[in-house]
Amino acid sequence: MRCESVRRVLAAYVLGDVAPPDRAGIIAHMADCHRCREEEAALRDAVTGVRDLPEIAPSAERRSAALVSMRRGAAERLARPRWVRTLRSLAGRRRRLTVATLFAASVLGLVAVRVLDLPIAPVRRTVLLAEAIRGPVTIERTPLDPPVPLVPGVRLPPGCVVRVGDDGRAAFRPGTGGLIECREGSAFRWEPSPGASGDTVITLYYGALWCDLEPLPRGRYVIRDVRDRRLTVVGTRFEVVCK
Amino acid sequence: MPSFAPGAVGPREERALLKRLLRGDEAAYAELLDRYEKPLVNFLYRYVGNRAVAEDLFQETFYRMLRALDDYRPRAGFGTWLFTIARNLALDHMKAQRRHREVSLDAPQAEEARGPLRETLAEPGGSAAAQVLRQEDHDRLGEALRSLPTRLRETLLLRVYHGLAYRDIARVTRSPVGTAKYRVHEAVHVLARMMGVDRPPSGV
Repeated sequence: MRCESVRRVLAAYVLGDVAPPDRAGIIAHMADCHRCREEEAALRDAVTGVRDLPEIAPSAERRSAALVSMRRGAAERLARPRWVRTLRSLAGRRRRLTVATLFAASVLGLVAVRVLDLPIAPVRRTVLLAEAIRGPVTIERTPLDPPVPLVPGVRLPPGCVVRVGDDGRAAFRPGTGGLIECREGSAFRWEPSPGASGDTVITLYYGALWCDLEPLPRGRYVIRDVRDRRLTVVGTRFEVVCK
Repeated sequence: MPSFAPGAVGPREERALLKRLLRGDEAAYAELLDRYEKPLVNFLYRYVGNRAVAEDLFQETFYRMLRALDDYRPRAGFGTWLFTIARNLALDHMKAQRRHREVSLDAPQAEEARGPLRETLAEPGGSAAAQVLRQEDHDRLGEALRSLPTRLRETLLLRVYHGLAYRDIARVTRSPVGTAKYRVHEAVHVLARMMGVDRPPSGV
């Protein structure tokens, strides 16, 4: 060890606050360095001096006066209504109460998520316009002009053609099991088209991820993609939430 | 060094004492005084540098403690709590002094401090010359201590003079444990430097 680094920790060494490995290094250095030894002696003298400072004791009158003060303090405390004292005493435990409350809230939250199948707080909130639907979305109304946005729950009549956005990409034809390709931020429009009959399942995807739509209570949907992330449908918008 | 050993009183004993204090047990007051009067008076005395003020503040500390007993959080010992109250009172006193410019914090108090210290230091066994030398050392140390910045002085006293753990010092001074440690080490350095100013150079 060098003198500079030894002197930096010499006070800690004198007070016994240095870990054994460093301690050994300091001792080894001081064996060869008289300057550090002198410094150590000076620090030790200072510590010993403070430790050995003479002690004073309060006089008997002061002690009696302190007892009187204590009685006065206790009397003032007891003069407070009991409920105030209880509240103050409880406030003293507020940290423990806060921790217990947070724990209880967490447990209740987890139970609510499991039992009510509530979506868990979003990690990444990406708003996607009606772009990932698979499941019981069927054709119902026809024809509709002007075209309306495709939203979960809309029933498409047989033979409809769903088109994606304004760029004219058509990727789905009812009855064929085809796909609707969509991109983030694109809106959907559909046009009635005669042809195939019967309800159909619409499958949409965004990017390269496939999703399944699961109905939830109160008209909400959960979409699971291949990575098992949950996408919750809110109105015509989807929000990405993670499990 | 005052006979205050933080580890000497177990948490069970402290809880029992707290219960008795809450009930208003007179014997518990006396017990509390026996245990903490000397450490507190000495701490306050070293803090404010004036015996009469230290005794006033010591009395006030116990009064405040009993009045606020419902606010006591048992996670820290009684000693730590009392030191915290005492320190706050001492700080308030020093602030008030500075505000009102009643007295100079240094010279008059230092003079006043010598009286009781000399009395306490008189040891029947030692030779007169040795006692004078020792007294001079103590005076010099006392002056050096008084000129230390308050934050350094309080942590040094709590650690070295009263033997509090760094964790308790951090509670009393409301600072992180690392800061408390740093201040104690720094205080030792500064004090040694002050004491070494007129120390004769030692032969190598």
